Amino acid sequence: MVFSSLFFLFVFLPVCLILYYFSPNLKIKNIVLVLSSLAFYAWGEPVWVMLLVFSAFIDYNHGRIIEANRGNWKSKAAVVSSLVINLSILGFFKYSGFIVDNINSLLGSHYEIVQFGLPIGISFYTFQTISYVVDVYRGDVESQKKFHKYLIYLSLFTQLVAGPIVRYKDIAEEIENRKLSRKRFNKGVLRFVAGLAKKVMIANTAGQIAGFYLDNSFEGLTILGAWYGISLFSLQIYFDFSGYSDMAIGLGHMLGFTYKENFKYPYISKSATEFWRRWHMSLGSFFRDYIYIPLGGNKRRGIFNLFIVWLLTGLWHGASWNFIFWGLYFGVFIVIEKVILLKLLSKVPTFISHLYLIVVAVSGWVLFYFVDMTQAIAYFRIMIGLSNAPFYTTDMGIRFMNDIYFYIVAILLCTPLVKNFFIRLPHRLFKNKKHCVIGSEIMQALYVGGVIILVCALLVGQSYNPFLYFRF
Amino acid sequence: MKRIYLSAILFPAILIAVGFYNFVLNSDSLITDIQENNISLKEVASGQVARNIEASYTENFISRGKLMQISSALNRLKGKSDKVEIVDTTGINVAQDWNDETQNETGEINHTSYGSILIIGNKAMELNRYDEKAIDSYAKTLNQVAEKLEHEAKVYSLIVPTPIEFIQDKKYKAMSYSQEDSIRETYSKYENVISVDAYSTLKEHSDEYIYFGTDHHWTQLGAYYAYAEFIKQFNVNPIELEEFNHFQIKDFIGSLYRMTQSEKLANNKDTIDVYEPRTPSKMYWSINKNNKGAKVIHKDYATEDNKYGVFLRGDTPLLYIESEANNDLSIAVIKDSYANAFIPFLTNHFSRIVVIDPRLWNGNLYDLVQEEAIDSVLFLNYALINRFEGYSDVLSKILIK
Repeated sequence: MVFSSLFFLFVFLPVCLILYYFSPNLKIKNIVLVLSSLAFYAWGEPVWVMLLVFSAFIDYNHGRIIEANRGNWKSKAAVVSSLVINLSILGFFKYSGFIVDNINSLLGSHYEIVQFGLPIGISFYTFQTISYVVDVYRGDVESQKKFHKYLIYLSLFTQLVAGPIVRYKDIAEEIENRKLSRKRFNKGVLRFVAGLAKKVMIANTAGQIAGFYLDNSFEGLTILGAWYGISLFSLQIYFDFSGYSDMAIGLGHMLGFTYKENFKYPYISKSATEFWRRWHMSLGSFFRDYIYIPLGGNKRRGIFNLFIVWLLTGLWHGASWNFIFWGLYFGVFIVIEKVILLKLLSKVPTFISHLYLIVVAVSGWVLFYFVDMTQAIAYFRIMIGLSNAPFYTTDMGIRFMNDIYFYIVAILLCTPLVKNFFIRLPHRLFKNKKHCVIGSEIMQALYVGGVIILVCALLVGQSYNPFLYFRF
Repeated sequence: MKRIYLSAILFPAILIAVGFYNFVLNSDSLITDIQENNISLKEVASGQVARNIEASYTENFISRGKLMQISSALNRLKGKSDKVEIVDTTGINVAQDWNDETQNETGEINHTSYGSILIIGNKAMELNRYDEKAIDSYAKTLNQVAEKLEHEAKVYSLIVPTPIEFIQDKKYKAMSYSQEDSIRETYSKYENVISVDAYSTLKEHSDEYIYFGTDHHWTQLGAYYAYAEFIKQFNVNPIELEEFNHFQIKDFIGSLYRMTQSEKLANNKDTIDVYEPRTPSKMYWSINKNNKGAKVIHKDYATEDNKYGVFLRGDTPLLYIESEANNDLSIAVIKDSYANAFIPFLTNHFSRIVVIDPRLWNGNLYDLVQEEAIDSVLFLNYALINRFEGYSDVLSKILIK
C-alpha cells in the first residue's frame, strides 16, 4: 500500500486513527500500532512480512545480549552476528542476482540463482535495525526490553517502506511515552497534506511528461528536449521522495512520533557537498556515523574513506552498475570540492555556484535513470551536443509551452519561497492579531480540503502512480 | 487568541466521512469485484489480491465522473494549449483491440513507444514519424506475398495518408514526417505488388470532410475517393456518390478524444456520414457462414462507445461477405480499421470478399487464398502503421506456413 492511494487515505488511515485515538491507554495504543503496521506491510508483501518480524526478533535479542554482556567478548560477538545476519539477508535479496551476473560475465560461467522479488522497504529497515544494534553496543542508547516495542520502532508503517531511516535513539523516549495533542495533530496534517500534494500533483505529473523524453527512442530527441526531460525527472524524484518523507513525518506527528528531517530544499545548494547535506539526510548521516567516521573520517585516509562511502551510497540505491557509477560520480565531485573547488565556489557570484550544482545534480540523474549504461551515454551525448540531434524543434516548443506553468511552479516549489510566502501571508493581510489567527486557520483548512479534493481527482484518473524509492 | 486547529478536525473528518460514504455506497460492487476474480493462494501470496482490491476501490470511488472532470480541468492549467497542443501517449495504435507489441524481442534496448497527437484548433491528428526499417519490412512482406501468390492472385497495396498531411500551416506540417514521401518510398520498393495512389485523390479533396476531427479514421467520404481510384484497376466505373442511400450519425466522439481527453474535441463532435451499398450482401464472421447473414452497414452497429463500428460492426478477425454482384470477382482485404468504411463500397463489385484483420486473426493467408480461390488480394492500411516496426511482424504471422 502506498500513502498516495485512495484505499490508504479513506480506508486504512481513518480506521487506524480511530482505533489509535480511541484506545484507552498507551499499551493498547502500542498494540494497535504493531498490528496496523504489520497489516500495512502484509497488504503488499504477504510473505516477506515474516522476514521483517524475523529481523526485528533477531536484533531485539542482539540488543539484549549486548546490554547483558557489556564489556566482554559476547557483546562484540553479538554486533558481528547482527551485521552478518542483516547484511546477508540484504545481500541475498538485493545483490545476489547482480553478483552472480557479474561473475558469469567475468568468468563466462553459467551459474543460476533463484531470484526473489525485493521485499519492500528492506534497504530501509535493515539499516534501521543495524543502527540500533550498533548504538546499543556503543552505549548511546539502552536496549529495548519489550519485543513489541522494538517492533514499533522497526515496523511502524509511517516510515517502514521508504524512509526516512529513523534511528532508535531518536524515538526511544516516544516509544515509552508520547504526547498527543490537537496542536501536534494539526502540524502532522499540514505536513502530510504537503507531502501528498508533492507526490500526486507534482511528482506524478513530472514523471508522466518526462517519460516521453526518457523512455522513447532517442531519435526524435533535441538537445533542449534532453535537458528538459532529465530536469523533469529531477523534479519527479525530488517531489516523489521528499513528498514521501513529508507524509512519513506528518503521520509520525499524528501518532506522536518525531522524525528528523530528510530533505532541506536540496536543489538550492551551491555545491555537491551541500546537496548531500540536504538530500536524503538520514541516509547521508547513516553512512557518516556508521561507515565514514569508524573508518577514520578525514583524519586517516580521508579520500579513500569518502570513496568507500560513495560507492556504498550508490550501491544502496540498487544492485546495478549505474547506481555505483552514480554514487562514485558524486564522490568525485565531493573530493574535488574538498580539495579545491569549494574555495573557488565561495568566491564566485552565487548564481554561478547554484548553476554548477544544478548541472551536476541534474546530469547525475541521467546515470541514475538509465540502468543500461549505453543508453545513459547516448543520452549524455545528446545533452552536450555530440550527436546530430537538433537544438530545438517546433514540436518540442509546443510540448514545452503546453506544460510551462506546471514547470515553473514545480521549480519554484524546489525553493522555500512559496512556503515562506504563505506563512507570512496572514500576517500581511491582517493587522489585528485575532484576525490573523482566524485567517491562517481558515487558509490552512482550505488548503487541506483543496489538496484532498485535487488529489482524489488526480488519483481517480491517474494510472501513473509509482513510488520511486519503493525499489530500494 | 487560542487556536482551535481547524485542520486537525477537518482532516480526519473528511477521511472518515468520505471513507464511510464510500463504504456504504460501494461495498456491494467492491465485493462483487472481488468475488468475480477467483482468488488463489498464489495470488494472495504475491499481493495481487490486495492490488486488485485497491484498483477496484479506485474504480468504484464516489463521484468518479465529477472527479475526472476536475482532473482534466486541472490538466488544462498546466500550460498554454489554447491554440496548439501535443499529447503524447504510450502505445502507438489507437485501435481498440490491439495490444501493440512494439518492443522488439531481439534483446536490443526496449523503448516505450509513444504516439503523438497534435490538436490544432479543434481538430486532432496523429503525428507521423519516419522508420526506415518499418517501411522496408512492410514492402518486403508484401513482395513476398505477391511472389508466393504469383499464379493465384494479384496483390494490391493501398496506403492511406492521414489528415496531418493536408493541413495548411507549413510549420506544423513539418513536425510530421511527410507521408507523401513515406508512401512513395514504400511503393518504390514493390516488385510485383500493384500500388494504388490514394494520396493524389485525397489531396485533391482535402478541403472536404474526409477526416474526422476527434477520431483517427477517415470519413466514408474519404474512403469513397479511394474506392473510386481503386476500382479503376478493374476497369469498372465507380458508382456516383449521389446514387447511394445516405444517413447520418451525429455526436461522434472518437479515439483521439479518448486518448487526449481534450475539451476542445468534446465540444466539437463529429458527424458520421454513412453511404449504404446498392447491391445487397450478407456478412458472416467465418468462412463457414456460422451466423445468419448480416448487413455490412447497420445503424445499430454504432454503439455509444464506438460509433465508427457502424461499418462492418467494428474490427473482427475475419469477415466473409457474399454479395449479389453477379460476377465471379473475389477479393481478400488484409486491413486495419481504415478499411471498415471502404469495404462496403466493394460489395457493389465483388461477389465474394474476405476481410482479414491480421492483428486479430490467426490463420494462414496462402491457404485461405487457395482454398477460397481468391483472385485479388488488397493490403489496405493507413500510412501511420509504418511509424514503428511491429505491424510487419503481425503481418508475417499470417504468412508463415
